[in-house]
Amino acid sequence: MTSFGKVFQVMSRDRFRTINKIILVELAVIAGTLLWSVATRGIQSGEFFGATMSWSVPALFAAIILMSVANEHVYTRDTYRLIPIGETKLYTTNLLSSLLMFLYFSVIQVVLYAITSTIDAKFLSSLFADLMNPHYPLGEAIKIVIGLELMGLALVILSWTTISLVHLVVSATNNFLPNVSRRAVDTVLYIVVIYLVVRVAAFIFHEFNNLSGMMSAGMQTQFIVNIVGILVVAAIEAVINVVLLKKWVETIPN
Amino acid sequence: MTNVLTINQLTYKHNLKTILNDIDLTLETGKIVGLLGENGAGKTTLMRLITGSAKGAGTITVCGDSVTAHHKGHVSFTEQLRGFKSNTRVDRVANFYRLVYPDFDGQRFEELVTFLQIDTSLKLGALSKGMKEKVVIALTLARQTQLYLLDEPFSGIDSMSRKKIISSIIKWKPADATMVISDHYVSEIAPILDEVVIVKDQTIYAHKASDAIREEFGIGIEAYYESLYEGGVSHD
Repeated sequence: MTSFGKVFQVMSRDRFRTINKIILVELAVIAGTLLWSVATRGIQSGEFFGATMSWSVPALFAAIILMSVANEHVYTRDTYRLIPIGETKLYTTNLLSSLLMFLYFSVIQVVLYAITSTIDAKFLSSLFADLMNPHYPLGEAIKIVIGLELMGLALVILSWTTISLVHLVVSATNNFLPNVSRRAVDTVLYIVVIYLVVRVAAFIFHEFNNLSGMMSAGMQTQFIVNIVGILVVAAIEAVINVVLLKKWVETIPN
Repeated sequence: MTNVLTINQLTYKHNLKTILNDIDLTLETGKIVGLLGENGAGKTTLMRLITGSAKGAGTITVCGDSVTAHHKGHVSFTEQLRGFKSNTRVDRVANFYRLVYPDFDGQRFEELVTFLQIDTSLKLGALSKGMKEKVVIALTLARQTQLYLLDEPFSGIDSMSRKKIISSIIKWKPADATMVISDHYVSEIAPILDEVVIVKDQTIYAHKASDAIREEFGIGIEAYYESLYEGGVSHD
């Protein structure tokens, strides 16, 4: 059997290149925006940070979507499914590889933010002074940022497991349906599966919120419970995905 | 002789249509087997069921192991490299194989590349159909496994190269391994076949040794195969 490390290596290679391409395009667009400003009206204070922040959002979405495409690609291609490795290991390696590449992307964004915020330090400190309570403790602000990062990461994982769940359910169901009006049937299937997944996920979230309410916890605990709730839903979806891969999901024929 | 493959009561349905029904098949080690049948008979599906790429009902045992996930380590299949982008170079594909298949023999791959005159610096998207098939054959045969499944491996390859590959296939096959070849060019592969398995009417219609066909019916494999469709030979 193939080792986890080797499968991880082959899966990460292409994704690493994809993430690098996104970062390069992002940097090129930021540079282009700044050059345009230089040519037209000169660089204003706060513009380095502003341009980076603005363009990091579409770059973030591109990273999430392209990693998701890479994830789904693995499940229906013989190139990956024929690797001598169990479906659980294949699924976990696939998800981890995307997650690690996404973390790499996030680190680069943090570095970009750090550089541009240093350039625009004067503007940003006066902006924050206007917006926030000057006595607001720095420790609390850092906690909020870390909390939001964790919540964002949990949501990214959930979005990937949910997309896989919808894809794999439709793929598995297709085997059992007549080969007529495939496109129409697929569209209906996608709508039904997405509806069901959203309803079930909402139900689990609701139960988790009730749980945190029962614990009559503070904001911080409720926030942590919410993150755990998201990860629990993602874990349930992941288990269903592995079962679908083992039992029903076929690859695209030669 | 031990069995490399044992299939019991295998049935496969797709889109409410039965493709293969209640199949039983046993293949011994060290053979070259021709898997014959008209288009859509289920030859590719049977190979996909053995690799685990398709999911059917029944039992498939490869090298004594009935766990589907374990089959992958014993079977080398001519997959069409759909998992790679068209701008991936052939040498990168080979590196992928080197990493994920512990039984991939780099030295043998180099020999096959030389033999088949493959330029490994080319991108997959730049390869002709025949050249891509050659790459697939080289990658498949470079693995040292017990069971090789070659699904129409010569389609698109020019007749000269085809004959050259067929005549040297024994050289590339490990002595104790079994090679199953599905192909339309029956007359060309017939001389190297030890056995033929004919898929017809959703089942294994006939499974015979090549010598037995020649002795029993006094005709060649191609004539025997064609006669089954024309009703000239009664199936036992």
